[in-house]
Amino acid sequence: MKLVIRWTLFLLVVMAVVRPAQSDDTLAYFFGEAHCRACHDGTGAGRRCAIPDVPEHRDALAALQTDDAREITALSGVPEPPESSSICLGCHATGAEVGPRWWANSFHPAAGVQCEACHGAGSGHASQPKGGHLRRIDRSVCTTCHRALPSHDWVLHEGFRRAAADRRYRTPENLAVSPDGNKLYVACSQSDSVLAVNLATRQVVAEVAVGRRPQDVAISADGKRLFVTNRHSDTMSVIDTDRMQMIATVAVGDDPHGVLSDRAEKNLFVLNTGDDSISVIDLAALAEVRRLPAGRGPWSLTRTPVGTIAVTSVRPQPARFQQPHASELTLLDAATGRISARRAVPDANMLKGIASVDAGPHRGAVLFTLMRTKNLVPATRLLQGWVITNGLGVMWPSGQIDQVLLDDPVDGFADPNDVAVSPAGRHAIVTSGGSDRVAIIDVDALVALLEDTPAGARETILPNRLGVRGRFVRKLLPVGANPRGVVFAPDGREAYVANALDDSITVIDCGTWSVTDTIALADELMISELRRGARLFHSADITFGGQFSCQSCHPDGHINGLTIDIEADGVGLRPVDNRTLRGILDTAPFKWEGTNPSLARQCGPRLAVFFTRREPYTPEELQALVRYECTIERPPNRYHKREGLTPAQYRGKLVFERAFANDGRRLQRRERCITCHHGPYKTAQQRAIVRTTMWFDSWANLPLAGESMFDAKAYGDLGIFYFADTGVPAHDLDAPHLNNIYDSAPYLHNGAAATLEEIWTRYNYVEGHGYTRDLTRRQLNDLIAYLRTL
Amino acid sequence: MSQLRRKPRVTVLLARIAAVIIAFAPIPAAVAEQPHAIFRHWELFTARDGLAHDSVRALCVDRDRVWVGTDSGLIVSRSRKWVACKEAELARGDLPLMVSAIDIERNTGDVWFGTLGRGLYRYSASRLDRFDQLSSGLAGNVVYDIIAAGGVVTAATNGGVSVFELRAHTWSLCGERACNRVDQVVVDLLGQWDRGAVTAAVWLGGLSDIGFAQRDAPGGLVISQSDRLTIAADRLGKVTWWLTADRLRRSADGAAWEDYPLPFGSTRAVVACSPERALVVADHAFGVLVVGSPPAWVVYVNDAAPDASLDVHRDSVSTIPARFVRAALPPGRLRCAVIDGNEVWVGASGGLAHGCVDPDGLWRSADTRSTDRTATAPGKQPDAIRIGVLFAANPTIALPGVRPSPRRTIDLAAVQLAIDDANARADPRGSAYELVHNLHGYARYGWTLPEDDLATLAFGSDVLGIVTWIAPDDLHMAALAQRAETPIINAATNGPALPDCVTPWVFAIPDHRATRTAVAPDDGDFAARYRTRFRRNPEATALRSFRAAQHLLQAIEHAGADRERIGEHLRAADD
Repeated sequence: MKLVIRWTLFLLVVMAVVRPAQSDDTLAYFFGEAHCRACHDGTGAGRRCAIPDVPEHRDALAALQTDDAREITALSGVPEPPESSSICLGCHATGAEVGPRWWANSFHPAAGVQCEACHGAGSGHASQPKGGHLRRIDRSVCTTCHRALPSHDWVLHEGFRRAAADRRYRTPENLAVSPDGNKLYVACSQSDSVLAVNLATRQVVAEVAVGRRPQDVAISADGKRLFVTNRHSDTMSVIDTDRMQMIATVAVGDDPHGVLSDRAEKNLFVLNTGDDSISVIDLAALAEVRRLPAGRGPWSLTRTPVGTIAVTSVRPQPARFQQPHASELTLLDAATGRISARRAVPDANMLKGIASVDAGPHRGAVLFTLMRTKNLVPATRLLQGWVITNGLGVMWPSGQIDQVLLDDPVDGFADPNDVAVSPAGRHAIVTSGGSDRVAIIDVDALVALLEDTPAGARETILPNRLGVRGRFVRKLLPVGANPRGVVFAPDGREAYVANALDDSITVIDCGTWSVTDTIALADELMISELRRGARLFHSADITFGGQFSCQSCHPDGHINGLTIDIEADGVGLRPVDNRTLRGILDTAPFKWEGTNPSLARQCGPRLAVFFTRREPYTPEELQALVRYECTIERPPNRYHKREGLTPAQYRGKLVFERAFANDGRRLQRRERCITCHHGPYKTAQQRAIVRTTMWFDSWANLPLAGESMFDAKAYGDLGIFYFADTGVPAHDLDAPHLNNIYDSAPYLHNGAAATLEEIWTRYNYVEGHGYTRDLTRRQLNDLIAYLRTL
Repeated sequence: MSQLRRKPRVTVLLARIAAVIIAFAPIPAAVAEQPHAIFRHWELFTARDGLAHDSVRALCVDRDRVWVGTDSGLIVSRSRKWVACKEAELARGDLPLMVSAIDIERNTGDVWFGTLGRGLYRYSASRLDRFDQLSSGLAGNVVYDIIAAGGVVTAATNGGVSVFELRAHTWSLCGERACNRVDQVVVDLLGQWDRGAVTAAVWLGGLSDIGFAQRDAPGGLVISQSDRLTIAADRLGKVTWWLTADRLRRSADGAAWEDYPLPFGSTRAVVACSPERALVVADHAFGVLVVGSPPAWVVYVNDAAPDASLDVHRDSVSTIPARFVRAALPPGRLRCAVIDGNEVWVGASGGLAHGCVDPDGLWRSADTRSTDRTATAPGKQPDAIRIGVLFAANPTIALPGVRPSPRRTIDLAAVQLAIDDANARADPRGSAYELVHNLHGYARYGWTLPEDDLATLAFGSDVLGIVTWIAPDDLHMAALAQRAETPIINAATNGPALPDCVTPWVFAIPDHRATRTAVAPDDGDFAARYRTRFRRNPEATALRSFRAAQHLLQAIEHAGADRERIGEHLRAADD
């Protein structure tokens, strides 16, 4: 009841504010059940609805208030409460997708699933009953919601519940030490808080709640203010360290990650990983003054002694299809707050941690972690290792870039997450999230290795050479599970490592380079099934040589922006686009060919055969892994505003759902978007033939070295026009879900479409992927605007 | 449109003689007293001096830097040296970057530039990000003007005015192009977005207001002033300068307009320098108008150009006094200019000129200054003389309810027949004629526009001329032809049509037989040969295509492999 009252009050306020601003009267709005019943109650002019007035439809909204609903959302990777999640409301309410902007005053959403849930907004029909404004429905409309949903089955029928411990884990991500070295501040993503740790007593002394999923923390020079980025809130919190209270919140871009100020503390830089930008915050006014274009997925940043700020990017820059990639190191001019240069790091991705050498003979050098994913060679080469390697980059003040590997041939240093350089500039510490270790780097030895290597080899051979780490890694220290952030004390005597999946801080003595203490950030907790799954997901133990983990290709459970050559059929052939793992439980089947009906099948023996080359997971491990993967959160959609769709987005929705072409022709079912992409996840969970085959897809059945293949290459863009004239080989593919599709470029099964637009402007030549030839440019722009809201 | 028709040669000759007389006449006292300086000292930059290409199309001054848009990409000055931006990108591209518009987002320092045929680019600290009509929401790849300010980039393209909101990552479209509507070619955007609105200059249309309020509405573009044949416009502060075919107009409030007759014709652009001063660029001269009492023109003419090339308006000069100054301007047609304090930069098809009031402002000393005024455009010598055929199918961008109808309007076989004839006539030791067309996948698919292919033919394939079919009311093709400076034979008609009249680069077929709807008996030779070779009867389209190609080939045979001379020959034939 409370929910109903709360919803009603909220909507009244929203309607009062928003309704008059509705700017496009040509678009239908939701009218409300009462209006429908006026004609369709069996006595009026309209036909009575054949579907009985079932109480489940009426109570559908109230069902979201239950504990079961909360467990289902957790299991589905839905970050919002169920009563405000567009995924849940898509089936449990009416008109939620378009939002309150398109609700008439007579519309009452508390009535649950109403007539317009199936028939669409009814104002046009009400004004012109014979006008055909309503969606014609059949059984397929019912099955958009009434279908098997594992998330619901697991909770409602199998009794799945998260463990109590799952609500108490903290998951420390990154650290900052106070200038006096007395306190350590820890950003904890799972508890949505920042902890203060007294380094003398090794005790947590304070905890401050911040926004959703805090990620990075920076401290002012006087130690009085903390700056914390909140990934899912798109904000930066400012904390007064004396009172340990949050004193301000600043709106920034999507998915903010790294945060740091310039030395003069005039500007603060926040890296918006979600929209590839950098927010420049005026520290005096605590307001964003400009937003700069960064590399793809800006992640972490450091001040250099030469007046710049260097920024890493986790995803490579767009490259020509099936061409080698490069990632960007962005340099900001601290004085002007603008970008001064960009450096390309060839063949590298997942540039994450970064630290500057501020003293010593190598002052000005910048160290950063990296991976080298050789995605164009067949992934079965994993058998020999080398396909995914982990290393360290060095950027010199001249702009020159060096890369060295931290892997040995049979001992990978998987998932290097962060790096810190000692105040004296002689040592660095790199964390390995996949092997639960840190490496102590001798900077002098590293530089000597680089200088001993001939110039040509330094550029081409050294970046791929396994087994050189013995030259510059002084020690490998085991730490807690999944180490991420690392930081030195100001005096350089100690270093601290955040063990994300251990809820602890490892203290390293920098004199003996040994672990001297472990600070627990939470009470001793049992390891729940979900946490065990998280550890498996982040661990490289299962892979050959320990070179990579699941998260190496799925950082944050998402994508690394690369397409992978998956089979041993030749270099660069049959590439497959990497797909996100966020919120995918109810989107089976899996794999682009849709051959895996469950995640257990996807991650079980198949993984061992194709990727890991080690023994598969035990059944218990597999269940834990799958359960964890289901809970990987899908970030809130930044384009779906609470007040509802914009007119352009609403028009795009109509294009998406249209049954008629612009010339009035009725579209066949296979020609409509909504046939394959419907329901809250916008997937029919079936395979379909979309005729996007290109010459390098193995099912194109082109001889590998024959004339036909080269004809196809020469014929046009990726050979797609070749198939237009010679006939497209039919091959069905899984209809992917479209949630948060805006942040999972590239697109199509082989990643050929760099942007959403290209799906239709370049690769729908034979109209197999919906009929779009007649769309106007405005309609296409509207369609894209709508797709971004899903 | 009749005002824009080319004048008979005698009239032009008289006008040019008058210009020479006026140029060397005593300076009126009123002009001599005008409080503005004369740019007396000049230096010239070409490809020899570091420009990527002689041909300059856009200029922008940002503090101590000068950004130059050339036919081979973007160039910037650093310490008085020219540095090409991202040459690697240019080498990979399939079409040269013909930079047609530049603007700088002052808050971030990013440079946005538009191209003729390759869309929109952001140049940010050595990185180029491309936005085109296939990979983004940009309406067209031919960009005439850009404004980048406040996190919003507005681009006037051949597909309409696109608005890109950077933070929201959304593309919107004003004045969408449609196959069943007379299109508006927006060539200039005036000023920054002001409370969500911008005023645009529509080529041969007028000034139009585009606002966010109308942006989502079906029309999008509201014509507010359409009574003038607009060439260009610019705005500085609240003062708007509006260049029409016969005058320069000024308004401080957008309502009351002061008119100033132009001292010359063939104008191209206007640049607002201050509330009282504007610069007008014409093909062979540029002038600075100073509004005062009385107003006065200072006209800079190319000291190397023949006096006859000046298209002086004698009546105008008698109305507003004009002082003619000879200056070392680049060879070829002037295209753009920008004034920066006591300096002026003038871009032309043959290079970039830098004029200063004070000789100390020049970048180079007298001994290092280039005196060579010949064009140095780098370019490969073609192994064949290429003739382009542009299938200008109606754009498939249609208004809802109207089915797009791509039409096959040129008969490729007929053009090939004309080319074979020319090859048979040609000296066997010389270059052969070769046919290049745009029947690639995308043209058939429909997400591109005909002008993109025109740009590809003109700039990518280096054709000497193009045979195509232009709808009678289609100004887009004419607008790009004006900028491509490539002769185009319009096979649609042999009489004067709108596209043929508004630009000196589009020509009709002179042969009246081409307008017939069927092949007549006196076309027997063509019809018989066509039938023999292609085993089918020619239709009227084939005859028109044949005649158009024949017309172009004959001009090439007379004028040689030079677009400018071919154009002159065709213009002479028209007269």
